[in-house]
Amino acid sequence: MKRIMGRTAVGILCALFLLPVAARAQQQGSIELKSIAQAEVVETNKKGEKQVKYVDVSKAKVVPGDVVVFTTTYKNVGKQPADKVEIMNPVPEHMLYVDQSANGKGMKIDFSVDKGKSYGSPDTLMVIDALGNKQRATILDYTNIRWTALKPLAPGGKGTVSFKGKLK
Amino acid sequence: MEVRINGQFTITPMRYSLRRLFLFITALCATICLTLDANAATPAGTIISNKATVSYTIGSNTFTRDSNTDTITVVSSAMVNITKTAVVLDQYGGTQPITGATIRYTLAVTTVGTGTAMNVVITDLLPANTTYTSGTLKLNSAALTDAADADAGDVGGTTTNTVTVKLGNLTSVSPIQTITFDVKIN
Repeated sequence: MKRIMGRTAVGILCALFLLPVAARAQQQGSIELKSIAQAEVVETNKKGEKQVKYVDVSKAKVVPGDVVVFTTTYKNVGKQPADKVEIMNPVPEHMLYVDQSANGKGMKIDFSVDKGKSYGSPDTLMVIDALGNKQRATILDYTNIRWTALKPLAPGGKGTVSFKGKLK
Repeated sequence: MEVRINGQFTITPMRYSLRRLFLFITALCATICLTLDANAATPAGTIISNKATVSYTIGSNTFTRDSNTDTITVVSSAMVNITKTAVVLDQYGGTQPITGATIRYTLAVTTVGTGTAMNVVITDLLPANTTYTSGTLKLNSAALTDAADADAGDVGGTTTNTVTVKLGNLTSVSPIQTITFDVKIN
């Protein structure tokens, strides 16, 4: 009896010890994500040619009408391949998605018009207009973007995904 | 015509032509459209944040993780618009653009939006084959000297062959700033 109780106690202790570790692993995972935002600045040089420069938003003066490029870098820093890799990014508040701007090598790109509840390719997305009619969604309706990796991400594997938003 | 605001923003020439009515309608439409845009413009000081999320599986475990958060602070939403118009007055009392005729240019500068456009400077290159008529530069009907001095404007002083008028800080409640000057067709 004593032995059984002892074993149970050890079991509970082990469980208590392991739980936070498991929880931590759940949060940490093995893919690191880094996001940068850069404002697109069009400058005219001395020859009168237009040049596009990208300036970090912390240093840029962003005004309505400006375009900001959001780039997310992902990397598998773990020792096992990661499957079903999906990167999601909402179209930021006060911004409109810029047509054809979402990019990502080896990624299938889908959009959401319902704040990320469901995603679909641009030709399948529908919205209901003010008169209650179903209409093909336009870029103005996009609320979220999702990149789905076509292959598992091997240890050390990395890449970037990006999109542009225009400030309203 | 060229507008430089803090050296950042340029509007390319709009030339006087027979399609003046068309230009007028275009300008009118542009003004209305810009005004509508301005109503929806994000106010200065708004902070926009963005972060990405990744989800994936390893074995039977699903993981999710967020990126860092980027923040954007909207600085100002003032937009300066310019409408340039021209009237030809020939020396015979008509309106033919012939040698010796005067072209009177009017630049109307308005500001829309919620912010302040700082240190607005309007520069306008004088058209080829014309000569500026001395002493005709005016800002809001008040004469300005042609020299680069204490008043707001000059012709050829700051930049050769160019009208320069400093309008200072403008907001949407600033009155329309009207610049006029005459040139003679060579």
